[in-house]
Amino acid sequence: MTMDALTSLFLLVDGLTNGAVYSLLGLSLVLVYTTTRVVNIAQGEYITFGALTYASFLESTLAPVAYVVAAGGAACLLLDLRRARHGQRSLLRPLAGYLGAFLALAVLCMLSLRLPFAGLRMLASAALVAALGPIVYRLTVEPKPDSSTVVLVIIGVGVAMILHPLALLLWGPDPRPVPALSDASLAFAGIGVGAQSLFIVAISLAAALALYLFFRHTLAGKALRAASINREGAEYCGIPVVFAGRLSYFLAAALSGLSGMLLAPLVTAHYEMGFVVGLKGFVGAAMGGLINYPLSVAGVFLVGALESFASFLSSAYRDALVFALVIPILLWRNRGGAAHDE
Amino acid sequence: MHSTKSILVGTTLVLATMIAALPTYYAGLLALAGIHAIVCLGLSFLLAAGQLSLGHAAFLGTGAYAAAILTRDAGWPPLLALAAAVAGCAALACLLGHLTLRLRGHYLPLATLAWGMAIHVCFGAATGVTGGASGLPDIPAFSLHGAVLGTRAMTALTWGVVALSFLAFCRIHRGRIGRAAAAIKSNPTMASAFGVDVAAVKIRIFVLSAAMTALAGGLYAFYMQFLSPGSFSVGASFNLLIMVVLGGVLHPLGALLGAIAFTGLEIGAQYLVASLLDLPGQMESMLFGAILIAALLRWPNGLMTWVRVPRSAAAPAMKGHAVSPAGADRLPARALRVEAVEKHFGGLRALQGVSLEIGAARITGLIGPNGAGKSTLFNVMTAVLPATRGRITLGGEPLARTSAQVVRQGVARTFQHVQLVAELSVLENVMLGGYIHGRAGLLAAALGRDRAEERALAAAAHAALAQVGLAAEAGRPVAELTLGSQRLVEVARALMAHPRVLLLDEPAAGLREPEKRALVALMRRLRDERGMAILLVEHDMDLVMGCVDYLFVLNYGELLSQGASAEVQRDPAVVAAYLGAEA
Repeated sequence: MTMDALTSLFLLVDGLTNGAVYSLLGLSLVLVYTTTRVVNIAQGEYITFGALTYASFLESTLAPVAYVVAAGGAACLLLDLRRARHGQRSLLRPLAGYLGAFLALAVLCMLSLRLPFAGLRMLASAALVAALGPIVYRLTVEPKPDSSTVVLVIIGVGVAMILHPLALLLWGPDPRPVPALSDASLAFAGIGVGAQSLFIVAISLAAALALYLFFRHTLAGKALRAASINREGAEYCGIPVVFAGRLSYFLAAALSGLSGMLLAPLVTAHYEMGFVVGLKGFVGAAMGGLINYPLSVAGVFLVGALESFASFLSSAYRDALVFALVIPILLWRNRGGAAHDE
Repeated sequence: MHSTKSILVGTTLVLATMIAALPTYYAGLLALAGIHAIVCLGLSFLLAAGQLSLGHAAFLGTGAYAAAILTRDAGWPPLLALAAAVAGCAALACLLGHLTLRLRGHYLPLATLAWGMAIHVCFGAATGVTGGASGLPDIPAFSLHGAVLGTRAMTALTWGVVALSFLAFCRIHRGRIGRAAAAIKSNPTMASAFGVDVAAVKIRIFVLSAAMTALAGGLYAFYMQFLSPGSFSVGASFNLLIMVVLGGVLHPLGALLGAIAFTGLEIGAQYLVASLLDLPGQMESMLFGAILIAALLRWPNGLMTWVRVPRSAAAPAMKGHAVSPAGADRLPARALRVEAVEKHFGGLRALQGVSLEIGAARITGLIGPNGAGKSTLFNVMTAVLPATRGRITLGGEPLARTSAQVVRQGVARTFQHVQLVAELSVLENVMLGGYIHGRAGLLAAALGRDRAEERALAAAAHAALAQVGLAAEAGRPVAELTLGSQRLVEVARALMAHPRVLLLDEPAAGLREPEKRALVALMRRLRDERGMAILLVEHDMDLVMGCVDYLFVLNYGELLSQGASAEVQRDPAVVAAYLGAEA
């Protein structure tokens, strides 16, 4: 098949819209890595959960994930209470914190069930999925925060093995429809681009910029990065390292959940959607070495474009080509990037 | 020894009975457990070297498909096809390993995940060759000289391979490369400092694990006589990882235990989930994920936490005659000379124009306030860091450029923060120092051809321990020793390399008074009897002033003073640097 200019342009635009899908996930990966040193293989699952939770709200049913969040939150509360008693600190603070979070979530969910506002429902879905983040962190990373990189990666594998079938268990195997924010379509040089895709691009660029500025130029951002580089040193400086880890997982899960909600109209919400998207987001984020936001965004767009062109050349081998791309990217990072110790 | 033999015999009998007597279905499950065990042996050793592979199912599939296609479509005899599949996979692993094993930290698992998925996609996409998603049917059964092997025979064959592989890996594990692998996992810089070519060893271990996995894949193809890409997905790679982590990485036995336990768990979980709870089939991976996380957080050694394997009984210390390590005669004089060395880290000038000499048959001291650059100078002298400017020569020849080569030139060191491998015993840690004098690789160890070399090495290690006064501690796990004793173990390890220049980085920190006296006596013996050049970096002034022949003082990266200890002590510049100038 020949590739003329119009085809190339079409593929490029298609690729960029694909890339936009992966970009929010790529940002989440960088966020988690720079603040906790965890290479979160399970990050893609939050996409699935975000999409399916939103689909549930659209059907005016309470997403079953709410029960998982409640149960997980209770477990974490017990662990925190035990730790507070051990350290002879007040039990009221954790209790108040968890109760406050629980009430906020409960109110959001109830309102979303009654009031059919898309924005409110998206917020509630994002909040529910985001709540999963710190729960996972509390149960899998906090017990041994100084685990080696290898151990943290394997833990991520374990989390993926739990979350992936969990989505299947909670929502069943059938895909659920999710309407787009807007069905409009804009035309660029004779090629139609969906408004939904443009939304995704805009939001991911804005998020990348915000994260970049936050971590580079604000004290809080630098404190969060410090917590991952030298945990003890950061503690001596008064940086709340525990809170830092939970916060970053919260934000990362929120970002991924949001990307799931935006992606769902394009591919329908089903339990398999997150994993492969997550892995392709990895490929893109690897370009930034998992530490650099703008490069990650560039990377995911490159992945999207490559996927599009590879699809045109050979659709069966498309994924193989995309994943094989990781290796030269990592080699380039390893050589050209800064000496990157664990 | 007796108990180990009887355990082995008993296990073989039980296994043979099971293969012969169980219903065919269960005998077949045993075959699967055996196939998993073969993979886990290789993967476990890989993980013991600190390398995490999330894509090993790709090698399993490559071996399986290669063997199947060669037998079914090209008409090759099964044994030949199996051998070719293993060789092909090993070549693939060699290529992939060279590309990616230099990747640090988290990059390597990502790379393995990536190619694992890429290869898996290829299995499904190459419909002409592999039959694609509908699978590859009609694979002929394994046959030897025309005798076709049924299920029970395949199970027996598989477990025969498991037994031989287990034996081989046990030997490798307690041999030279096994020690090197543990050292690489613990601290690659330290491993390099004793001559281990870290990249090469990692690649070899990786290729070995891929070859084992391909072998298992081939056996799987002949056993199942049908292949589909779904068996080699990323989920399968994750399951292999769970088996290895569940069993524990401390010893190859963990691989066997993990494979068997996992296969049992999988059947039990499938029964539980499908029949009792009536849930969709993927639910058992939730259980496995939970087990994986719990194991990592709570029981990092997996099932091996409860199974004690006696560490190899290396040759016991020969009583009677004092065995001095080979090469204990007076060594040819070689001085380490540092000429106008500068080291910059970006804008920070850690060393500025430092020149010093560590003369043969002399104890040279290097002191300086904290932050003076002593550790940087140390690292430059051992080629851990390259000097920005200046020269370092050893006996007139330039110093080698990597630390692995430097130790072969005869420069050995200890570390400021003790770098011993916690999983190994004291004796094994010391034997690591003799790495450069050994030649046994993976194959030699697997075949048991390294016995003589290992005995000699163990004897030399005993002698080295005797020299530092720790002969009685040889068999103990290194973590049980006091810090002071651990420092002496480091000295013994350094002596094993037959150094002409011995660099000691704060060896007295944490030593008690009698230990310090013993250390000084040891240094004097080495200087007088062997003509060794010794560099002592220390903070303990009494110790330093009492035993050095020549002293250098470093301050802010520059040489502040040098001379005999008495002169240096009186030097006003030195006094000012340490105690502050008088008002």
